[in-house]
Amino acid sequence: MKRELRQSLPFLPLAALASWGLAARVPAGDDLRSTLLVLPFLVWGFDLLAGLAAASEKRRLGRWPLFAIAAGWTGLALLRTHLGVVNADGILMAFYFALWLLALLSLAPALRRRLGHQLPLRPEPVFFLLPLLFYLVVLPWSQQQRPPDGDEPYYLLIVHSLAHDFDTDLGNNYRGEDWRVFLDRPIEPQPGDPTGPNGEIYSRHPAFLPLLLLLLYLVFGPFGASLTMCLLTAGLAWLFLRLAARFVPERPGAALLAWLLFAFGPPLLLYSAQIWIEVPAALLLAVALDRLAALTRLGTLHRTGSWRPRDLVVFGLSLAAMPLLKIRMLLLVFPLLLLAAWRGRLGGRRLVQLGAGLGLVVLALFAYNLFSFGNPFKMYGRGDFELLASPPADYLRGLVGIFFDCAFGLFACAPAWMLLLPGIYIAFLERRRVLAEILLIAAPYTLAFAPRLEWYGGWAPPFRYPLVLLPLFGLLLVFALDRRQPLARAAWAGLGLLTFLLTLIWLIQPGFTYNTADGLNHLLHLVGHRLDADLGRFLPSTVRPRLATWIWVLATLALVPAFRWKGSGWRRFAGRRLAGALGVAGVLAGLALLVAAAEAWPTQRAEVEDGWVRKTGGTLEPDQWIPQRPAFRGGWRLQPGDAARVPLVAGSERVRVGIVAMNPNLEPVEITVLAGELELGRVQFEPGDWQEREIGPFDWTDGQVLVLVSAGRGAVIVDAVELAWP
Amino acid sequence: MSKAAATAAAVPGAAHDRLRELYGPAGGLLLAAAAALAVAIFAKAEHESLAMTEGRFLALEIGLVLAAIGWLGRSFLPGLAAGAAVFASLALPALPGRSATILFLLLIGFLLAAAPLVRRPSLAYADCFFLALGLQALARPDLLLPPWGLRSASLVLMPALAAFALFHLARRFGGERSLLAFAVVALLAPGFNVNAVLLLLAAAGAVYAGDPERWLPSRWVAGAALLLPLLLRWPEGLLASAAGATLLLEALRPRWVLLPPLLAALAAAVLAGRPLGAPLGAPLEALQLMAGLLPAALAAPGRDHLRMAAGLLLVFGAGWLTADPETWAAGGLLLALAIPVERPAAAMQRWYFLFLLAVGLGLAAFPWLRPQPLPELATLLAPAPLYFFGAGLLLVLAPGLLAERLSSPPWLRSWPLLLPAILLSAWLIYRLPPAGRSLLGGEPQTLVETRPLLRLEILSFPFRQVVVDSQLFHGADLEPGQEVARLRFLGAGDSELLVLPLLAGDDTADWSAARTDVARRPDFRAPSPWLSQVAPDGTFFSGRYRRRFDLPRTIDALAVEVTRAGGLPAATQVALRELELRP
Repeated sequence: MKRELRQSLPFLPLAALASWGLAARVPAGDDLRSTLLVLPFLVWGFDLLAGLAAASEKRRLGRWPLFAIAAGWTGLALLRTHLGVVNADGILMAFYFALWLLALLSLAPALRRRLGHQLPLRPEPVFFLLPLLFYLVVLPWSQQQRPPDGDEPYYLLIVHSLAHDFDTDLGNNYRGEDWRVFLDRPIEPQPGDPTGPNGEIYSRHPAFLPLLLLLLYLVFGPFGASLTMCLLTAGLAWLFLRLAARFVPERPGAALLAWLLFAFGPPLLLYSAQIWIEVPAALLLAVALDRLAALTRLGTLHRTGSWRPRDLVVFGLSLAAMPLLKIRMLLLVFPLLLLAAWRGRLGGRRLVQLGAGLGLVVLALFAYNLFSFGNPFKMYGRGDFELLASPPADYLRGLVGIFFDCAFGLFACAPAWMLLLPGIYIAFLERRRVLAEILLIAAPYTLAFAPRLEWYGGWAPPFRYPLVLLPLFGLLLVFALDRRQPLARAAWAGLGLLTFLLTLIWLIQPGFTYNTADGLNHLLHLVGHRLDADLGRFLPSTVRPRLATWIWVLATLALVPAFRWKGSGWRRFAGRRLAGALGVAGVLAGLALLVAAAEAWPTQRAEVEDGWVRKTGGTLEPDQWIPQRPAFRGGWRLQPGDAARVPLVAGSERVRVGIVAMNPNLEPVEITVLAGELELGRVQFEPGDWQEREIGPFDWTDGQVLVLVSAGRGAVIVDAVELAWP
Repeated sequence: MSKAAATAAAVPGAAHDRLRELYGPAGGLLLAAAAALAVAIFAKAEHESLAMTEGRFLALEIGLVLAAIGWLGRSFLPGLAAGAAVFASLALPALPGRSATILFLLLIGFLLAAAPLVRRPSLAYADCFFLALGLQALARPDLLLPPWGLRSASLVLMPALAAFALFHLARRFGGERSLLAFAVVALLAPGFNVNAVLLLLAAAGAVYAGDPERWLPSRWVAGAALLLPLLLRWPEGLLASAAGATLLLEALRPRWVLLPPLLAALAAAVLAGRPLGAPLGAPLEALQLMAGLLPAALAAPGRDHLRMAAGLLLVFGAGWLTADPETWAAGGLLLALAIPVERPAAAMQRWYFLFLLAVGLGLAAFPWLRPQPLPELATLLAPAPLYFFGAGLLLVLAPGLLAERLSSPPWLRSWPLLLPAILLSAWLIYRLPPAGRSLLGGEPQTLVETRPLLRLEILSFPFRQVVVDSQLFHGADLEPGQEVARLRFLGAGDSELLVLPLLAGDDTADWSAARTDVARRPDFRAPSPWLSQVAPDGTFFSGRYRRRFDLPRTIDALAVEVTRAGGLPAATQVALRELELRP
């Protein structure tokens, strides 16, 4: 450590000099300014960490190449306005993040050697510092592109109130417009926020997370809060390796791959600087599980001969802290206690003491809520905790959506996490106890939020609610990543590449991770708009369920057993390496197939709010961020004279057109239906709820555009166009 | 050794490293084919003909460069490059931004894939071929456009011949020197045209003929390659043949090694009609180059005679014969073959060189299409172009020598290496034009007969430079020098502060200037395009042009009016793509 530090230190003043020079050169309003100013320090940090990781080995990415790449990128960033390239900022940032990710991947072999033959219980500090460095790489750009959203500003306002008023009453902070410290748009109290007898306004959110953020907020302001979150996320990444050392210590190579995906890939990366309770909750869960493994018969190796009182204290404190973050975390506390009882070596007396201590904490919390807000659950009802109160279809839809939904699902956000399915399968076949333990921990919590309409999280990047369980899922991933058979190799090469590229998109366009609950994601809207093609109908969505949803699920599950195919004869035929290429080629072919299918498959239904339907005028209906949006039929409000142009793929030479629309006026409205410029007819909608009107059949030639023009005096909300090709 | 380090050393890391060899060469080629196919399918799905044509062009370009990356690249690079290219062509809107992104991406991928070749002591022919193919596809995108014919065949044929030459050069001079020489030649052409390939073949023939272990008749046949440039390309081939002869004599009769360049210089002087005794006024720039080269060249150990021959060719031959930078290739090739590579600074110097290669290739590649990338780079960055090259080569050669002679600790020894990089970077940044203000905000405006005036407000932005990106439609018949538009910068009360005329042929030109029927007109003139794009019919690159006006003083105008000139034909349109003011 000392040697690496000694070698790197002379470059620190140079980094400061470069940063100073850039500060003088880059104007204040430049979007890349903060990224450019911190870059020299980050490069210096990486150089130091690369030295630490590689120790006495020769580094794959040497110091000079590293400096040269950084200098080259800086030069391009300064030149970008003169290159005549549209959206040069985004393109340059894509290269920036790609280079950082590649630099980190270049350390993988050295890091692998640091883990030895068996995962160490105390991973080296570099496994904490590298994720932290990368989160700091992402921070300036993501903060600049996407100011705090969703619940984040409210958490920040509580921190601000704690820092300046020493209380959690936000009334004066709303009135004083204190949100201006971290936001350039006004915020108001959230619906259902508790109020006090003297006009106090409290937040629905507990103050525990703001208390965690307080210290660095006092030092650095809002940046300090983000920095705290980065530290917590990096801590979680480090703890993941520790958990892997508890549960799968004999698979260090696969654990490292899982760690790379977990720490540097979505969804955790997207939350690394965001202020949500999920990351600290996951951290507490990981701490609790780690201590539980020490206390009980969980895990296989590294078991201490006997537990220490300190283990019990840490375990108890982490369990106690979880409901302080959010009451729903109690649903994770109970199964952990159950596990402690089931597998424990604590003895009944210790268990009772532990349970009693936790019970006291929970009771105190309830009492505080009851006396302060008149409700022991603050703003929740008892129904929020009923696990089996919804119809089975809602559970199925939620559970499928959590993983498969193209907007909010884990697999759409980071396809490499699809390896979780074979991981579960292999763990099951190997009769690994960890699978049952993870299922036991995750089941109550998952059952609680899966059937709820807001299962997807809303106002946040994908996979928000289940993020707390991500470390557990990551452990199961290890079983899949340990496989070297051809199909496994092809799968992780192809899905890994797709994840890498999607990660770049999510990083350069942070707004793309905040999807609307309309059955598509921003990327599909964008590409569909560009190609005039409905790509979304071939991808799964549980917000707008369609046939493709279930086909994807069934096809994926059917493919899982093939993961263990040993590839007899394959190696003689193609060698091991071609499998990876085939995996990537399969992904590329899949993308091409998706586009080709969208161009060839007859259009059956067009959702008018989709990006590929071009609108001249009008607005989205209901509003993009309306609460409980999946409960609404999404549509497009066409004002008189506005038009929607639907580029159809013809299924035959005749078409019958059905229009689903709603008339919010007091008198009938009309929609004119045209094929390009040629009027086909008019349909009338009576005032009232959703109605479907049919028109046709008409002669139709492929390539024609169906045009709907609002022809009445008032607005009409069009949900979809149904097409029948007789 | 610490406990952790001992554990680390005991683990067979390479066996566990599944990232190291993911695809293999065959897999790399498969990825290139898959990516090209995918992009072609996306192109078919485009609804605008321009985007469709560009997509088809990109599919071909992507396929060829990815084939090179796939063959040469290690680890996950081929897959990453293929995936990124496909993603970019799908997600980004068509036209210059997308092309620039994809080409930039391919360029970086190609450089990363090719860079490790430098360290190899010898090269396989297949590696040489794919390297040359990638260079050709990047530097000569015009060969990818239809109509397909003999000219298009040079897309593969020329790299195949150049690779053959490289393969033989590498056997004598090792991988690094040969690759540097190869890249110098490819960049100065740019790409592999007939002259470049003849030079490389002459050099390779000389190497083969000078190898005493070869069968004598085959050496005679190879030696005949020296005459090829002279016979096929007179007088430009003179220097190439002289370079080949120099290499042959260096192997057989080292004392006579200066004879060919001296003879070539004499011939060049006679051809140029210059008396030998006259002062070296004309090739003054070449002297400047030598000023940069000589300290490094003279200080470096080994192969001094080859360096001197290179200097002679550069100064006298290229300086007197023609101003075309292509003729520097012969001297550049000798110089690159003479550089010492076994030094502590070798790795860093490779990076300097890769930087020049990257920028040069980037400028030559679509959509920038600079026919002479290195001089263009020099004019962009320095007042005297050859100073820049001299300084660049000095930076390549000198730091290692300096570092070698220092007896300081290893970690301190790197400072002399770093210093030139810092100075060069600082100089480059200093030379970069400052960011200005775009008046069009990314929305192009077209001036037509019925709407000949465009007025734009300027809110307090003093400026000393005006940059106008434009192109004409139906403007091929205009007289060169004819005014097509006028920029009037107005102050308070619309008082006229400055007037800048935009002239056809000098400041802007018709979009179809590169189309054969337009370019061949005797009375047609066009500046070099600033950015190019594939024309709708896909047979040529249409251009948009940039004119930068340097003002004698700072202007603080309130508005600018751009007026289409009155005397233009009715159909002529003046399209303004960008109007930028710089402080």
